Amino acid sequence: MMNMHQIKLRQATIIFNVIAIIVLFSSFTIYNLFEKTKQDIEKIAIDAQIKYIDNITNNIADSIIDRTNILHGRQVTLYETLKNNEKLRKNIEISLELFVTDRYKYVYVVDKEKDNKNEFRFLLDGSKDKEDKSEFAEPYNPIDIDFWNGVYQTKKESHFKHDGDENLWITYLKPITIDGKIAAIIAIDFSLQASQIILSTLNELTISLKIVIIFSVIIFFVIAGFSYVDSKREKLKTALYNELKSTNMILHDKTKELEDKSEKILQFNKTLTQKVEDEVAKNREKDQQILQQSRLAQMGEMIGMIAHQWRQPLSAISSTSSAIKLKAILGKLEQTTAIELSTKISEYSQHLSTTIDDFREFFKPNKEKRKTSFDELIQSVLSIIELPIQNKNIRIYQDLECHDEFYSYANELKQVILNLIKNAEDILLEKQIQYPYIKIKSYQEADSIVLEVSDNGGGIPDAILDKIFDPYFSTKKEKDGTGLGLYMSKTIIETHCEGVLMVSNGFEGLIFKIYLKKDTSMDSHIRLHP
Amino acid sequence: MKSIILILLLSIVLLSDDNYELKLYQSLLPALFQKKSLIVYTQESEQKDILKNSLILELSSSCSNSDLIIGKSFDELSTECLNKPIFATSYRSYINAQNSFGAFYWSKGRPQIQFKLEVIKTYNLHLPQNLYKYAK
Repeated sequence: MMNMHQIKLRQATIIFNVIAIIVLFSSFTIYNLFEKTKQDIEKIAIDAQIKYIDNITNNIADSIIDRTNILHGRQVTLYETLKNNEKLRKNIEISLELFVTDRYKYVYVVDKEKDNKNEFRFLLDGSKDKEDKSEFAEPYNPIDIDFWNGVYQTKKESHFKHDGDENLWITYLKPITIDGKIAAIIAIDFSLQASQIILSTLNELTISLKIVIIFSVIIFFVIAGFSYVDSKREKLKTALYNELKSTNMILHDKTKELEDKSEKILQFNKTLTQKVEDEVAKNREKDQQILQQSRLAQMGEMIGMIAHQWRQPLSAISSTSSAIKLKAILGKLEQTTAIELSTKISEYSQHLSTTIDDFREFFKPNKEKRKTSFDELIQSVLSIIELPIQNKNIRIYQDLECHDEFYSYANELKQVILNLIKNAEDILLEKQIQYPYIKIKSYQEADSIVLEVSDNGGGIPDAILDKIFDPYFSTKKEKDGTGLGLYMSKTIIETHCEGVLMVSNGFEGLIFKIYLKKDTSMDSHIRLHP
Repeated sequence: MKSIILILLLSIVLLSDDNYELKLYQSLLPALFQKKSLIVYTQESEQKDILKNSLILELSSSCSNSDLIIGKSFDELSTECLNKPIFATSYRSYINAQNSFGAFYWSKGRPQIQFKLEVIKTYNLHLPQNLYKYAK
């Protein structure tokens, strides 16, 4: 489908092509007409001259016949008559001279010596120039001899153009006929210069016309070329336009489709946002529950530890108080002894109080990072759990090579370390390992400082190694396996402390590694718990 | 046939450049005398101009040692040259000079060529067969 602009362009192209063809054909037609007219003019000019000369030669022929007094039926020839009368020859030649001008250069009379030979001779010559004047009976060898013989054969006048000299000269041959025989030929060489001047003027016009034709042809081909290029361009444009139109339609459909989909997505997004918000809320609630459970578990652990820590001083307090009571019953309680024993009880009580403070400090969450080190963290943890562990015949090995200080949430890290050590203890006890041990290592690795807690508990199957940090996942058979300890440890290390907690099966048991960045600084004051 | 030969011969004159007379002499005279080169004597400056550039026809200042004389006026020829063959350049001199064996001249703007068989025989010249048509 073409639009109005394309139709107009198409029409303009057709009009231009038609004009070009008309111009071209007109030029050729005008040129042909002109050439024909030129030829006609030339023919008319020559014919007019020929007619004029024909009249002249008729008069000359009549005059010669009259003056030579050759009558019909007489046997004497013109040659013989003229040969015998020089005066007559001269008189006739004087008459012929009258016709000689620049235009009619030569006027002369020749005859054939013998009818069957090509031997012509001069009888009369109207030339004024003595050098050029031919003598009577002088042989004459005309170049265009066929024309001369032709006059003898046909007994009719003839004319021919001279070769060369730009065809400026014509020889007119008029037979002098007496009793049906050719007595002689009157020859006049006349110039076509006058008509040639007209023709040369026309030739200039011919050149101009040729130039016009050449220009017409050039214009035709230029217009044809432009039309061809334009037509191709228009076709291409139309094809592109159609392609664009169909693409546009497809695009329109796609846009519509996309708008529909977008609307649906928008609707779905609204629903999804609501769902996500709901799920996030649920997750938060779940996290709160997990945290709560974790805290409860830690508190249980804490209470167990406090109980264990308190067992010895309470036993000592009990035995001291029993000793005071016994000595008092026996009446052997002296003042110094009473003071000494009560001082001991007081010390034991102070120890119990300190133990409570340590535990409180241990489980108190930090709000800001502080400077610490693996050495400090491990000593703090071991001060609480080393003795109970050792009482279970589990040996603790320390291989601490990293003494660097760094900024972090120390209490959180202590909880993690405690959790990893307790985890190892639980495994060792559960599997009743013969010579159980827990190894604590610290060292540097590239840009990190590493704390490693390993045991000889035999590890866990590789298939479940990836799930060890999942919440509620536990390999422990006893009731104290909540499945939250390692989940919380990973959360603390990776979310709060910007480190990495990894686990792998070692040669003898599990190996936990805590990676922390060396350059952890005080600048990152992150609130741990909202 | 005669016309064809004449046309061929004269076409040399007509179609060649302005020194057409020389070319005609050079093709015609050595053939007549059956010599590769000829010594020519002429009294006319017009003919001297024509012949001066020829390598075949050598101009001579004296007619005694020349092979032939070319021209149309022979009134001033020395007695020793009276018997030399003449190639005339006008009809009148051709007719008047007894020793003229041939002529080349223009008549009514047309080149004319003539030969006298008797004189040719006298001087033991050789007229090519195709030129016999112009001989009397």
